[in-house]
Amino acid sequence: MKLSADAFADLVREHQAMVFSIAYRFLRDAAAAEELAQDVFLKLYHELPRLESTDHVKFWVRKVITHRSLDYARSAYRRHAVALDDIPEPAVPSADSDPLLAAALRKMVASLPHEARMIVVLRYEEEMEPHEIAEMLAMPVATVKSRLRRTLALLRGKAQRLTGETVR
Amino acid sequence: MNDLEKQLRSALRRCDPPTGFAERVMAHLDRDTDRDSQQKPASWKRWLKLRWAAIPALAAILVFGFWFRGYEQRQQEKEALAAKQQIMLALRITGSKLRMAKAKVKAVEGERRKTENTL
Amino acid sequence: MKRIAIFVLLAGTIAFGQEIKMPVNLDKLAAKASETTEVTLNGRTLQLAAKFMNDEGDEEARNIVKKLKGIYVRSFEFDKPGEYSEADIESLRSQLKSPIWEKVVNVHSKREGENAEIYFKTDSTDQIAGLVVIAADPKELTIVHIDGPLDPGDLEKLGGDFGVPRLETRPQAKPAKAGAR
Repeated sequence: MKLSADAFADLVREHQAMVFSIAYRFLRDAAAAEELAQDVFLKLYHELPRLESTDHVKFWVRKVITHRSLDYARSAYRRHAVALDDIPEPAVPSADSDPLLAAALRKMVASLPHEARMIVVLRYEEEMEPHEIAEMLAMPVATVKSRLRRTLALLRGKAQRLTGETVR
Repeated sequence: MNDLEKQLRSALRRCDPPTGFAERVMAHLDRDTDRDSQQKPASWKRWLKLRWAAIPALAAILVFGFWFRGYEQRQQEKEALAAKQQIMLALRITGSKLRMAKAKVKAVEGERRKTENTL
Repeated sequence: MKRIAIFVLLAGTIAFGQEIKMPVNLDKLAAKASETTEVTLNGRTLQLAAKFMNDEGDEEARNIVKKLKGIYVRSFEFDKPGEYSEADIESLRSQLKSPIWEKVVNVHSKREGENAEIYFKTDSTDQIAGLVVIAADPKELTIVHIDGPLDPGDLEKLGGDFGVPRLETRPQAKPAKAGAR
């Protein structure tokens, strides 16, 4: 694909929420998420000649930000200012029926091991199917499904204890 | 999809990056492109151009100064809001442990009063 | 068994308040814990945050926080008992044996293996200038240190009608090893 500067800027705007959100929901660090997102788009600019379609672009940016985020988290078991960059939910008015539970869920997700966390982000933020997640993360579908099942059970238990209510 | 999954979808929904993200990406690209193209040897014409370029450059520095002050303020706000969340978390944990300790003390005192009453 | 499933880390120091130093071995517990909560907020950050605590419901917390010099929390949850020992907490306890710290609550439940200790620091005017809570059960260890002035009203708000009980409600028997049931 070949694009003018303006067209590339439009492409960035089209995918920026997806790219930023994957990194942000995974890392819970807005500064790191923005830096990674920016890197992905800079790389995309140079990769464009090799990409064949808009779907290919979407798949490519999503895959790159997923792996960059995982690499960042794995290489950076440093003391991050996670909460310092935990800005309030931006851009859209809150649609959380229970904002406290939503905030607690986000924190619970952030405490999951890296791969389980990314599976949850891709499943519920990107609404990807298990086979798509498996392809993205280069792991068997059965593994994705079983991790998802176990993770949901864990989150359900924690959410129940937090609220004192049964969570289906 | 059950309740928890709906709540996860809601909690993890997409959010936009900070305002101006696309512009920053494009600015970065422009810088990279300029850096790549600056391989020409210096010449007197280039030197003349650079002198005239100083005026808008100075203006840009002033504008940047104002922007940076605003940026610092925004960063401070972000930091404060994040700290507030941590504070509330810490106070909730403290409260829960204090209540737990209080409940235990009450239970122990209750047991002892029972023992004393039977003696 | 309750679960606190939040993972928050803040950059910087291992110092746990101005004169209370976090025992280095507690950092190793994070590697063994299934869940870790860590909060480290110094005076500067607290003052900054207090300026922005203007939402409904923030007033009580703001009034407590704006006087404080630090809030420090370390909380570890483990998958099985026996992942931490009394020795892990002992170097913290030894710092609380100084004359300015007074143990006001010391409850041990042998049956459940749950222990709770609360310490107050008092200043030269006999006002509370700090609070440490150590809450330990077989699969969870929580340490809270609030550095700064707290009046009884603040304690009440923190704990909900928290009336400070008498010191040591029973002779201090050697506590059961954490994790033993």
